[in-house]
Amino acid sequence: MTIIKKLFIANRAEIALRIVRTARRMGIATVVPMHSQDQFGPALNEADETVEVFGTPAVAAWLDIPGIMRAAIETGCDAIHPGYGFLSENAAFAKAVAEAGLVFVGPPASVIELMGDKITARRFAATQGMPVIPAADEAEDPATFEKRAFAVGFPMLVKGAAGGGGKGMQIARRAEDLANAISAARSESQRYFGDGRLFAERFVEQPRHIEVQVFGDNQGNVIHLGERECSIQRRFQKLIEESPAPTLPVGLRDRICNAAVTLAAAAKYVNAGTVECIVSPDGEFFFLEMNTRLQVEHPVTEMVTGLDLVELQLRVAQGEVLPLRQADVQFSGHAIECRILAEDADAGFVPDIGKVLLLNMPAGPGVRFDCGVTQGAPVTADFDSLLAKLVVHGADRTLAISRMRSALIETAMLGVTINNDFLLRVLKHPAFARGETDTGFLERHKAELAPVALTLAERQILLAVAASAAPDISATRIPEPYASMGAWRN
Amino acid sequence: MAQLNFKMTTLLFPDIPETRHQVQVRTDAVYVDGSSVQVRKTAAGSFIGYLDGRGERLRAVASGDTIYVQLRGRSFAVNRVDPTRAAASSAADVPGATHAPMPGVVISLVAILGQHVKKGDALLVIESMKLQMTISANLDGEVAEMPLAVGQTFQRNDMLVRLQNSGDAA
Amino acid sequence: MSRIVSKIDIASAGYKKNHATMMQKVEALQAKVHKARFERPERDIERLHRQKKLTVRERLDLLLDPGTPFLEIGTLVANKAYGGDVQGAGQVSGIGIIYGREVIIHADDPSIKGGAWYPLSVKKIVRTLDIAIENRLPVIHLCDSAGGFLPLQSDLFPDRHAAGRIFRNQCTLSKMGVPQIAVVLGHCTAGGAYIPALCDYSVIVRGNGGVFLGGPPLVKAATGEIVTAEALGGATMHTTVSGTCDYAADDEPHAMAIARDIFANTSPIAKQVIDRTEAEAPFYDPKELYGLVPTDWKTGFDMREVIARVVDGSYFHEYQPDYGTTMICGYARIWGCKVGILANNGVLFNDSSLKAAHFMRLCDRDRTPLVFLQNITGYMVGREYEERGITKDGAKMIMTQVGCTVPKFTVIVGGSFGAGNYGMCGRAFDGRFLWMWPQSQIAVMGAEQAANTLADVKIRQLERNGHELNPEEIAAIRDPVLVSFEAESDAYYSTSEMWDDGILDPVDTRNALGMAIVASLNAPFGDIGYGVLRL
Repeated sequence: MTIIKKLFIANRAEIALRIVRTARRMGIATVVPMHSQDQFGPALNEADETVEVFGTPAVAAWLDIPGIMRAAIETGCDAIHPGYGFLSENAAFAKAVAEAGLVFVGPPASVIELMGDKITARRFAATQGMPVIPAADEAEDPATFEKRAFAVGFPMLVKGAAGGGGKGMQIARRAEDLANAISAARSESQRYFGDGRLFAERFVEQPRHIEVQVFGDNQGNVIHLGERECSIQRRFQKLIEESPAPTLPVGLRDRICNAAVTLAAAAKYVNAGTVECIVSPDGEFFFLEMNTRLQVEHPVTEMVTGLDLVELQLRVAQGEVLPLRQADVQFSGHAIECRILAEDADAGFVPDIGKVLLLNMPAGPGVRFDCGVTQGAPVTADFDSLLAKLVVHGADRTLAISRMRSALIETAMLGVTINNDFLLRVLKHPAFARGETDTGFLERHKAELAPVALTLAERQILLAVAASAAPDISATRIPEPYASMGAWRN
Repeated sequence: MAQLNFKMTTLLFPDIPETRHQVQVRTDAVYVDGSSVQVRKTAAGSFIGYLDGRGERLRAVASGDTIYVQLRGRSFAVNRVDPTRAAASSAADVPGATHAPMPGVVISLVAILGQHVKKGDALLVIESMKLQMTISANLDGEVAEMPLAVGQTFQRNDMLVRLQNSGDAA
Repeated sequence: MSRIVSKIDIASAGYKKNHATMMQKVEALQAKVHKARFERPERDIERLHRQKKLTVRERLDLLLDPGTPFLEIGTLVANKAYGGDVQGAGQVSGIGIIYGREVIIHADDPSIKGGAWYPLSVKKIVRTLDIAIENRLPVIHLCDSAGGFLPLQSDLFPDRHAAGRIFRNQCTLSKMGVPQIAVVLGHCTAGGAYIPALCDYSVIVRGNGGVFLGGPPLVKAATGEIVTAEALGGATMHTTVSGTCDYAADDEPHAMAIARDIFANTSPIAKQVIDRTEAEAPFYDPKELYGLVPTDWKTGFDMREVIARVVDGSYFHEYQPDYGTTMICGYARIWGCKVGILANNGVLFNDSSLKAAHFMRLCDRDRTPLVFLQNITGYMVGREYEERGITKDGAKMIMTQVGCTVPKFTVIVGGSFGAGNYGMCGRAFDGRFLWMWPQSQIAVMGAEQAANTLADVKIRQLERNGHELNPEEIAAIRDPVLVSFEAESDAYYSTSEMWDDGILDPVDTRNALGMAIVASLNAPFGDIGYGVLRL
């Protein structure tokens, strides 16, 4: 057992803040990196210390293993939490942390190597009896990749083997599309992950993206904390996640969760992880990949189980045994998360930059707002467009939807375009209320999700408020006697 | 003693830039294009407006000449117009064309015929009276005419370049 | 100062009769004013719409600060001229407020004969600019005129105070440092082109605005050149090529917004300081003015009752209350400004003339603006009074009055006849403003007196030649004189010829004076001169 006294959080924005808060509650000191292009993060105000990191472009600082190590060691930290993204699934990083004698809050490097790579994970899953989708891995034999890809069958998804988060992925619907899909996916993967190797797999139509939160300790105990449905996606990136998955038959849900636990246990998985699957319209499920880290949407699980996953991560990292067994895990109510992104959803989800001139965080019963920006913070193209996570819990899905709708209306980040109004329209759509969620939802209902034109009265109110809020450079005080005479005419 | 303060301002929505709205903020109400609208400030950045008799909360913040306003979760940018700035495009007889302000010579061509450009993109560089000037696109479109070659001289009002909106007939 | 104690009985028959007759006059005035301001032939309004033009009143609504007063000058000018067709002489003039500061407006009204300049239009514009000069008021010209009305050119072109005076006044204002902004909303042709050219700033509306010394027809006739109005003198040419105009506007609301923005960037000047406190409404209801002034000017009334319904709190400090009692002199406040009031309560005698002169001197020395409330038939005549020097005393009053450098304001409340008009600051005596009431009269003498006098002369002439006239013959000589005198003594005749700055509804007297006094503070008062002579 190693008690963590000081934790370095190799991340930024909302997840850094979220980890800082749990660490503080546990009496652990925190250090958060700061960069000249990232000086306004909320975590910087709440962490015990900040340390400057360097890199151009800015994201490079968070991908710079020696730089991160140096920052952690110089500030006297004895553990590093990688958050999500960046180096969180980088086995070399996990190894470097361990070799430096620090605790890595996550699975061991060997497990990351096994399960973090799509191809090896898929192979391993297949050997464990987990259903997998027909696929072709380029690395096996680059020369025959395109031919083997053909054999996978159409429609197919071509994606970067080392990637995730929806980047480096292309759909090829017909044979003619394959060559383009391969070159586009390759260049995108090279750009985002520094690795252009590809993976082709059959694309299941109208699939539901169901994932299972698993947790292991180094005594070999593995439990699951329920499933999450993350089917509302655009450009393969999740927009809305919820737990439990609506309309999923209980039997199927149990089978998926148990299969996930079995897989994780076989991989000797330690700490938090997520097994992602695709469920077809006829109820078949296939292993997609495993994320060997904490996920963006973990709050959804926290709200239905009442658990603090970061706390569990830290305790397992310290060498503790999992404090609960599968039977102890209780599920209550329904939770939904909406990702608040800096983008113009109605203009093709084009990213927007600007400055958060006015921030209003929604609040209320069952409302949780993990915010990655502070008022006055610039929003630039340097970093990811995820500005905040709005997570809502209710006794049932209907109440959760209702609370989420109110909370989205209350959410304000004026000065940069965000997608809260678009999310509101999704939440209001009858198909969403019926739980008809699959990854084609947004495309299928595109026309109905278009914004409604403003009425004249609405325009007038907006103009009236705009004029009232406009700076006072033309404000005039009418002197006497004219003020008292008013609009007198002789 | 009566108090009469007011603010008069011209605003427009970027999605309909041709329509300008005259708004007067007076002590009794706000008048938008002559119609009275009831709004009330409740706190910094927070207002109440009445729609169909119901009070709706709005938030607003200004930055320079842009005011961001949110109503029912939907946010908009409203721009304040300086009335002395030229409204539509100026004296050009030919839409999309840029004419030489004085005699000079073409130093370099940055864009090529047929190229799609965005407003503000550099098109060519000219020199007059020992001063180099970059001629930029004044709209989004396609380079339809680029009549002068590098090293060629021109007189005042000669056309230097003509753009057309993509999709216009030539 | 103490509150005037009113002695009128609003339940009395006399009050009610006055009220009824005055109300008729007031309602008639309001109807005429409404017609002059708003009633236009349908086809003229259609034409404005087709041309994408606003009416003058709509233009002013966009130009002036919302919810602020507008003191219109000469609304009913030309109401008895040109067949009654040229309302307000096709001009709107007045003092308004932009960004809290006073401006004076000269606006052509294109819905009246295309905004053409008749002789009285020119007189009105010149008067507007004279007011601007005397009170240092920034001028906004809303130009939209068809040009001079050629059939009457001899009355509007050549003379000293005809059209040329407009441009001379503009130059004088410029030299004084008073800002002028022109908004060219229609054509400024020939002489009219000089208006924007002589202004500090000019705005011109695309499509409608045009500035040229000769319009397209004249150019074609002169040189054969064929050119459109837009190319010859339109917005684009003048704002990009010739530099004659400064700002091009896409439409009239845009033009008004630009004009406001320009004005906001001119610097306000420090105003003349006078004794000024917070305002207070009169204690007595101003509407009682309707009942206390008889419409027949020959019937007297106590002018203190009028004062009590115009001044703040009805407070009045009367000077020499027991001496020269036909002249009331005293201090009061109007909209917080301390003023010296001179008001007639009968014929002027030696003592009342001297009292007036002394009081005016006190006010002038102490920088107190003067307000004259006229109801005067003249100075007393007769041997006793001539021996006492009534002519000299009247001269002292006139001399003192002209020598004052504080602003003077006159309201003709009843009659204004003969030399009494002069001593009490009539039109010729450089008061800043002069107004009439609806029932007031102005002439060298009363109509009956004039008719009788002229008839007498004629009768004696005929009698010398041996003719004895019967009553009908006498009436035939007398009556036409009476009728024509009555017509020409009428307030509407006076205002038509612009011998005054407008006919006021009596209850508007307070606001008109208040606004005029405060506006006049834009010009510094002159030198004080002599001490106060006890005459």
